[in-house]
Amino acid sequence: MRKGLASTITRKDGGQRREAVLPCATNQQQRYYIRKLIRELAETQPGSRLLQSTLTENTPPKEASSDAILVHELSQPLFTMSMASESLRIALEAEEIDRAGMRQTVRRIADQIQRAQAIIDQVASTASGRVMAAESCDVVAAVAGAAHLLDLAIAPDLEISWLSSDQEMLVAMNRIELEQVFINVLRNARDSIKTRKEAGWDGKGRIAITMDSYNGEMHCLVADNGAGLTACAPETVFQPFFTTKGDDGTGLGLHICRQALHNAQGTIHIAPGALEGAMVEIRLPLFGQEHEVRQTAG
Amino acid sequence: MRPPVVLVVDDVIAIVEELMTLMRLHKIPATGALDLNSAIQTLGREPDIRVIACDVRLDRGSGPDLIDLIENHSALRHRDLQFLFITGDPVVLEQNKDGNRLHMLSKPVQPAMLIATIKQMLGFEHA
Repeated sequence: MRKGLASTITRKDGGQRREAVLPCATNQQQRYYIRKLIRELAETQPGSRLLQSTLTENTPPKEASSDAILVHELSQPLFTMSMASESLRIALEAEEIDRAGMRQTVRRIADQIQRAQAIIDQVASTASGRVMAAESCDVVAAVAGAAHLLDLAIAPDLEISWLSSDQEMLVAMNRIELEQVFINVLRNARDSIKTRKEAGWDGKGRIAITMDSYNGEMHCLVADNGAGLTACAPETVFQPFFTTKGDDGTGLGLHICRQALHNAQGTIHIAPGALEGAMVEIRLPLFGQEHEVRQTAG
Repeated sequence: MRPPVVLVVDDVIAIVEELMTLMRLHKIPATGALDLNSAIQTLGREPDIRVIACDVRLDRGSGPDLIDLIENHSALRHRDLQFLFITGDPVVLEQNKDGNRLHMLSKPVQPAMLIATIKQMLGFEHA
């Protein structure tokens, strides 16, 4: 690894100290990511070394080599995988084994492996001039996979029903990504029913899934008879870090769903159920009809 | 629900999600932000945050920009905050001669090192 310089910036402000340590950049690409922080030399302590000429203002890199792009892009899924595997290790050593949680962690790792592969394929395609084939997956299979991962079929006091058309419904999404969308939606439905039961309700939990296609679109409705939406506006649940699960949730599930569906020209909405609980509606253009749907809507 | 003491800032949702999950498993209450503006809003709402773990390169802006934003924010500039920068770029660090702790880690970060660094910054008894 190349050698660089590093220093500490120390400021006194009302008796409190704030420290930040930055690396020095040794080439233009690295400088892009480092800003000059020291603006008031008078506030620095005598003797402290300061970052000066090695830091420059933000300038975009003129050209990044493909190997530099590959290194940077691959570091993201590798980082995510390393943390997920560590979470899995901790879960395995816990007194109570949360199989469903561990299975979801494994799925997230699989998702990142697929992302890493996609990055490699993209770089290889660009280098060779090949055009990559579009991906598609069957919605019914994705929903079934999600339900299986959550063990919904064997959950006590929970009845799952679904109704779908006989026709295959292919959409332009990666299978793992679409499964993750339904994992998040079905898990929220299951947890909402659990919340209602914990509040004293002794009814039977129900999740009804209906899927159909018309006008070039797949429509999926997931309705539950759980606790329903909180007093906040329905769209609030899609905001990142919004959670009703206290320490048990990151609040990113539905936000991730919306982003993934948006990237595939799909939509997701939530509303109170007709009589109780909540209802989630997901729409996605059928595979090969994405641009037609967009033109019709435009 | 315990108020968060760590703020994770990264424009990659998967990274924020995994970091928050990992910290929860280590009993470190954490929250996240996907951009600098959200980070500032979260800091305003959560007065117990003491450590900010931030990616150097964000979709809009850079991690060190957050220090500038905090410095220029009347309600935040007096907060006692420590910064841990995480970067996926091949930069090299050398510990300064004062012996101060380095608060910069390069991806892919060893999770154990990341948690140990954060615990140390929080002043937990056993890092």
